[in-house]
Amino acid sequence: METQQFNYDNAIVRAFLYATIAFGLVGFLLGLTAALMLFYPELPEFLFGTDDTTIRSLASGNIQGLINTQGALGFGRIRMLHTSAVIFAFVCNSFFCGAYYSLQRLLKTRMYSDTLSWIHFWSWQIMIISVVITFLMGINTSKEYAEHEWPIDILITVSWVIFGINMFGTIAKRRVRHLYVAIWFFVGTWIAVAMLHIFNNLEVPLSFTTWKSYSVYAGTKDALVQWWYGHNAVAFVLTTPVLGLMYYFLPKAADRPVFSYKLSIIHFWSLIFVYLWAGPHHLQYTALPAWAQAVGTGFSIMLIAPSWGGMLNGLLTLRGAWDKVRENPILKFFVVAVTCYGMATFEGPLLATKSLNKIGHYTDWVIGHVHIGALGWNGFMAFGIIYYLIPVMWRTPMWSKKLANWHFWLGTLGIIFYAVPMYISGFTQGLMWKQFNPDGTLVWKNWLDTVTAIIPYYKLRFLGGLLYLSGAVLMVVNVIKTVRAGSFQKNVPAEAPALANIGNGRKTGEGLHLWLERTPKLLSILAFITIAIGGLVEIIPTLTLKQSVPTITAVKPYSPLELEGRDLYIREGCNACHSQMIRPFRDEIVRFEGKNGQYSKAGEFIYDRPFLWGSKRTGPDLHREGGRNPDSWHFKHMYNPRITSAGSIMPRFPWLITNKLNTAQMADKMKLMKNYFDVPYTKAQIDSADEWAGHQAEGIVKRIYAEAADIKTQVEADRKARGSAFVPLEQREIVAMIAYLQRLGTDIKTTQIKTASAE
Amino acid sequence: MKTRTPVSVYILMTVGLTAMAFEMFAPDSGYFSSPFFWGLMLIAVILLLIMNSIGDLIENQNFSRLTDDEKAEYIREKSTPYFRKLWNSAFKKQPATEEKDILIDHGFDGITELDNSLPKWWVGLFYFGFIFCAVYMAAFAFTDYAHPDAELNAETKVMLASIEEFEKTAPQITLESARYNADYITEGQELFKTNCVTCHGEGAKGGIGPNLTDTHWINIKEESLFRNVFWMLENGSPNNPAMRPMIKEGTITGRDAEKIAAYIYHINQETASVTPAQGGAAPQGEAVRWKDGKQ
Repeated sequence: METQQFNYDNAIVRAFLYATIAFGLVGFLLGLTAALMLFYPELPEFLFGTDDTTIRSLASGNIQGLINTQGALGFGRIRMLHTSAVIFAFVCNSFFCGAYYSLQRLLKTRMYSDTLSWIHFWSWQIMIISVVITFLMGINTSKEYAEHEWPIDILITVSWVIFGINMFGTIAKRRVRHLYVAIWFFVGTWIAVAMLHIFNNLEVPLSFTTWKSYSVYAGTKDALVQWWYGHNAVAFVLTTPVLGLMYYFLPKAADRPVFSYKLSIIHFWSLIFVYLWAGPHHLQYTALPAWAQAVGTGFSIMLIAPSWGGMLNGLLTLRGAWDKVRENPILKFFVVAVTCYGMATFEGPLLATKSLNKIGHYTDWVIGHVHIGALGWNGFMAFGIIYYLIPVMWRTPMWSKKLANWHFWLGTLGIIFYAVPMYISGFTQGLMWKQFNPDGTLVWKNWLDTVTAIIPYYKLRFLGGLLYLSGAVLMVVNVIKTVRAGSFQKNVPAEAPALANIGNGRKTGEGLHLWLERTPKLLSILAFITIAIGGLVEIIPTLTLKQSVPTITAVKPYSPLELEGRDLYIREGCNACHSQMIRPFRDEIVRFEGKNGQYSKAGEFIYDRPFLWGSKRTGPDLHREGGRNPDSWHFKHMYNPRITSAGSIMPRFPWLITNKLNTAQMADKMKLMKNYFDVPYTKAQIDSADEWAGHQAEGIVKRIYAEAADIKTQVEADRKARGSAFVPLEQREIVAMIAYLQRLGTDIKTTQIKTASAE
Repeated sequence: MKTRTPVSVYILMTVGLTAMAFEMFAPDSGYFSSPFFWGLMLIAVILLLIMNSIGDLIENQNFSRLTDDEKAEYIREKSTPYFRKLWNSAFKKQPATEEKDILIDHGFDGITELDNSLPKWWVGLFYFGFIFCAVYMAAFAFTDYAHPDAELNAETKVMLASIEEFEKTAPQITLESARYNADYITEGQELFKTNCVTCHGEGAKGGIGPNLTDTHWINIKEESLFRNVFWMLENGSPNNPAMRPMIKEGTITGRDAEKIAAYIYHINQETASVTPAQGGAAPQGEAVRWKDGKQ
């Protein structure tokens, strides 16, 4: 065959590389901010103003400053922005960067289309920017790692499809017969993410001119689909693409052959098969059907070996090259990354067992666990790749190897200072929650005591994050210096013979897998089937069978005011810290409803779109919050949590008290619920939505005034000061929020009373 | 000829895995003192020892067929401790000739792959995962193992039994048996801080809940103050759900209520009340003259 001349496109790689670095810094900084707010909740007050004379502030006395932020710096919003920035902006961009570089070289061809490459790049970055803006404004769906509202979901889909066309197009015009293992992982990633993203984000927009949408799944079903997605976002965004990158960059940097081709095959197929089944382990002891929880545990343990296959293939590739690791900072990053991957994938299955999940779930243990993966595996892989690519693409050695080594040690220290305090904190709090006195009362009755006990660990964690970030800053310096010194080559000439057409049929004596490796269509279809099975088995029965969610007759739809309150709860990201799921443990029942109380039942959530079970309890569970605190307590608590609970780390929400509730779409929300989801609102109820809400609001305000004369005085003073611009308390957001909170978990109490009187 | 894994490693692994299985599926750790468990272990160990002896015989047979060089090599390898060998294998570079035999090069940008066989322990882990999953699912399907509601029932039973046991030596305090005791005031104050302060404010000066230091009360259910506080703690407020029946709910016991009531009695009757001028809440309810008596 004659040799063909062509160019590799390095410009697109550079673009994704810069995006990785920039968004990496943003992601780390957001994480650091969130970590700071957990022991310094006054941060927004410090920056924007406060009426609390006991704390330092740049604008003391100016509470309006804080109100004007409308919660942009609320912990709930910063947290989702942090996770989204790290997953979608940092890790995804690093994947695209490495994939665009390695795909071209592994297939000996330029990308299928430069235009598609650039559309992919810009659509993805626009997506990220719109995520930042919408999240800061409180526009989100509350579903973790899928908080983007529907227009952004569509943009992600479009961008992902463009990437897919470009990738498969490149594969089609390749000059290398077989696909290398890295590409199997890229293909698997593309298929799985497309499937997960679409199915988890099925939602009905309130109207095509608003951002607001409601999940097509409710309650338990929504939870199952969400964690099927959430778990596999970890699998197919944070794991498989990065494994693909490892298979390219690690042997390149070490200049060693990959340890075992057989291991690559068996761990690839088993990993993508088993991963999809393990999602329900995020919902152990919740209202999810018990069989699904059992599947989650069983398959999680099964997942250890496939995951470790990847780690082994990485580490054993370095066998006999450990002298190089001592010399080369790139390999140092890779070794720690792969080791962290091994640790996290062993810890994960252990956390999925019931005995450890009992203690670990809802605590900081899980936070420590994910950060071993995120900081260690994803972060260090990305850093290694950046240090590998910069000298190659700019054709000059790294400006300072010493600085890279400093980055490595700062980063490693950062991981240790992050993870260890989180483990201690998680254990401490998890055990405190469960401790009983011999007389059957809880030792730590006051939730706050279990929070103040772990504040020192929050401070240590902040230090860990700071170390990690400062390492990354050193990398930026190093990159800038190197880039300045080098000369970048946009198009890298290469040559290779064209591929002869030998047909897709399997040749006699050709190994089965070898045949698959040269028939990408077949490989993709098989990968899709392998990936789809787990999801099908778990999700279809839960979605189709009505019996899978036992209905409780006493559970009634939310009132219009409560619906609005629920949307506010989502807007402020309350579910970042508050769960709504009392697990069937004695301590949780005693703590959240009293010794004769009930744990949360699946049937209680049938009108919850989306579900709001939460995944972390920084604050107490709220599922039985209704009636536990007076309305005026909630009012004061939202205004400043430290008035009612000294030492609380909850943010303040004063704008809820000043804002007028937007009720323009209240009836539309009810109509949507009725028309699309069969929520049993009558026509009369929808027509009189405003009166219904007004009536409920009046009741709440009456109670607040009766309980707290000081609030009444304040509001009256406000009425006089504002004159015609005054908004009556009944029409403000706080009232809707209180309506929702006081409703939580009250239905099932009604049942109890009914059965009691029937007897 | 490869050296064998020492029998001690097999024994350790077998004992470890069996104990793990028991730990997961047995209802409590009582199995550890059961003769059946140790009998099972003993049989397993004997079987492993027999297996090892057979292995020895085969090894001797094979050894006699080796050339002198191979024999020397084998003896040298056998004298290295097992774990040292395992450790070394992670760093040992495969001989270049061996690598050459198993090298695969499909022209992947200079990346080559070795066709090494899978590490034995990894294969073991792989099968273990499958077997674990199958056993776990079977246990779930055919017994009440890993059923959250069954676990809750068991937990509740154990808990109630232990409370009952405790109350044998420390009987419940009821409205009838509760008595004021000045020694309780300090402890009562601590209990007040954990359970009551969010609504009644520091020092019971009132806030969201009424001022408990003044002469006015909303709910008057008993003739003496001490008993009235106890009654409220037991039954909650009939007109405000936020004042919960804390004893009935199990948040506190009668023993705690006795102490809280002593504290409230102390700050209401024995110290001056916190007036609105001092930051206390305005009086609510009706003025009441408590019947004296600390019971």
